[in-house]
Amino acid sequence: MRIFILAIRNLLSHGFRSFLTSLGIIFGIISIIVMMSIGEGARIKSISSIEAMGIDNIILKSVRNTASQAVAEERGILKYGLRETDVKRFIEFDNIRSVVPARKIRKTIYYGSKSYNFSGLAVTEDFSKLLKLRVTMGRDIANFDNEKKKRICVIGKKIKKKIFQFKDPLGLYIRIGLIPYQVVGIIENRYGIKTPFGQNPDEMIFVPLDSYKSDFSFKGLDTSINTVVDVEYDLIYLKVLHTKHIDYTAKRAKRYLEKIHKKNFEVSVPYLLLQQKEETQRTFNIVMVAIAAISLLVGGIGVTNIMTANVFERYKEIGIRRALGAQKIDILVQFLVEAVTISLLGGLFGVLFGVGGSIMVSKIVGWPTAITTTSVLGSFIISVAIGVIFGTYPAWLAAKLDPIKALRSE
Amino acid sequence: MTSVIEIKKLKKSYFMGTVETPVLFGVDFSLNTGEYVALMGSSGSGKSTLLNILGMLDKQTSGEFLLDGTDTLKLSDNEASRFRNKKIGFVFQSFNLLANMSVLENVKVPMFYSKVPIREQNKRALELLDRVKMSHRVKYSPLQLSGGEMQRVALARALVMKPALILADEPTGNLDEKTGQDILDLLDEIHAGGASILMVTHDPEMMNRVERVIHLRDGLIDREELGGKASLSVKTQ
Repeated sequence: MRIFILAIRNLLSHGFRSFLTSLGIIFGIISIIVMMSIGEGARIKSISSIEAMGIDNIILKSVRNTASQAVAEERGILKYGLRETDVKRFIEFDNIRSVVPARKIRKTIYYGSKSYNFSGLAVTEDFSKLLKLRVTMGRDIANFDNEKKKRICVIGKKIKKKIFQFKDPLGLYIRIGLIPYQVVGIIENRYGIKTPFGQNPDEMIFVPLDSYKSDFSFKGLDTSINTVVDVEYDLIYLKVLHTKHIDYTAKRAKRYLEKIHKKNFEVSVPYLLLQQKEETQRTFNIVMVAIAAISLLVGGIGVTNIMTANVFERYKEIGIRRALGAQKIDILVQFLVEAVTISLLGGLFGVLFGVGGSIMVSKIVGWPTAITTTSVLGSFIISVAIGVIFGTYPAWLAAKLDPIKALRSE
Repeated sequence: MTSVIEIKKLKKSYFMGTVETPVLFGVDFSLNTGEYVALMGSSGSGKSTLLNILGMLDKQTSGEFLLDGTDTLKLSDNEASRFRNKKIGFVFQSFNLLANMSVLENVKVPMFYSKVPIREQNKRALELLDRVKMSHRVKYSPLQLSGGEMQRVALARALVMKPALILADEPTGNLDEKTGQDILDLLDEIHAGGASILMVTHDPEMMNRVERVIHLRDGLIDREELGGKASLSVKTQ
């Protein structure tokens, strides 16, 4: 303990120089803390958004492409996408818990005399669970709605505001195409999750899939291309039993769809995306740590440099201490403790400024950041290690000094 | 009668590559417990070399040096450090206090290296500072002291481990006449308290203060003579 106090006093007697020396360490540790917190923040964000898509889901999407375009030119109707036959086939697959299909609503919505172009999905009961939606008023779409082909709908909270303002919408009717559907519930997108088409459920209308299928044919006008399209399902979620085999199940589904639908579909597996993301994150972390390591190396060299200068300046002191009974190891420890103290103080300030810095990054730049205990503890361990590694040489120089020469020097 | 220092046929040479430069050619002398001896000699006589060996900062090339009965040649560097710490009190011409420590801390340095408990350290240091009449400067920095005051602190430091031998290397060399006399008076007192002292000096007047004078010349003991206090100590024995 006393040797630390001695070290701090010796360092304070060259306060500015000690500060400059530890600056390298400070910046090194700041960069470690800030970069790791940015990396960790980005990781948490991307992982939670991927996790939100459902870690045990395989998402199949119908897509238009040139092949379907050619069919359209022939018949005037663009027919593509996933079908009920596919759903039936998928149910027979191994490792499938459930198959959840959905279709886009391609009809204009009316309320009173006004018309709206909201997006919407015709879904089964399971769907809002997939998107982790919360019912804030009324109820959700249930299985009996589908069984009895009830004409009901659940609307996003932003739609409620747009159509009904402050009116209680429950029990009121909106029209899809020309058919009235009764509003039975309001939902809220609690976690900011989007549909695989990038839509926000808060701005969507949901109706029971079977009701919609019986009211409307597969054909509908796709306003974005101004063409009538024939699509049974725009979306199928495959919920698997074991994520361990999700890759296999996804490949099997893909092989099957390639045979039936050529290229008119897309497969995405959040679980695999997550793994890829973590892999990229690791690479990113390694690069960042390498950058921080370079600045710490420079800082460490600074420690060696200044401590060597210290030793040369304090020949006399070393000589006196040796004459008074200090062993070589005492001198070595004294200078080593000084070096460790410099770099540890550097580490301390580095951690403080680093934490401040990463808070500023998230406040000013808006990136998500997260300080981990690993990065803080690691920073302290690293700064002690730097002190030891880069302080040993000058300390050894001091210890092996000939006490007679050291005493004689001025 | 026991000897603190006993050297026999002590030789020391410096080597520059293969070139040997002999400095001490075979010195014999002893210093008895409680004795006060002056070592005189012109520069180049080998005085400093002898003092370095006696202070265990250096080792002889051949010959024997027993310090308090122990053959010093056999000691490792660590053991020699421990010996310096416990057996020898150094007093230097240029005081050699540590500038960034207080007076009290300077006196405590030797105890730090022998792991004396802190309470004991403070007690002993304060006692000795009182003895050298420096208790009013305990918290001062050496830079705030006069030369004489610095040498008093250095004396306290030299005594703090109750050494077998005090090696004083021209302790008054950097002091004016009056202050120098004060320091020598203090050394007399310390000697009267039972300390064995070897003092290197140029000052012929020192003859009167010591019991014996050893003259070193060209690496050999030229002659020995009794000092002014010799009769006194002979009487007491």
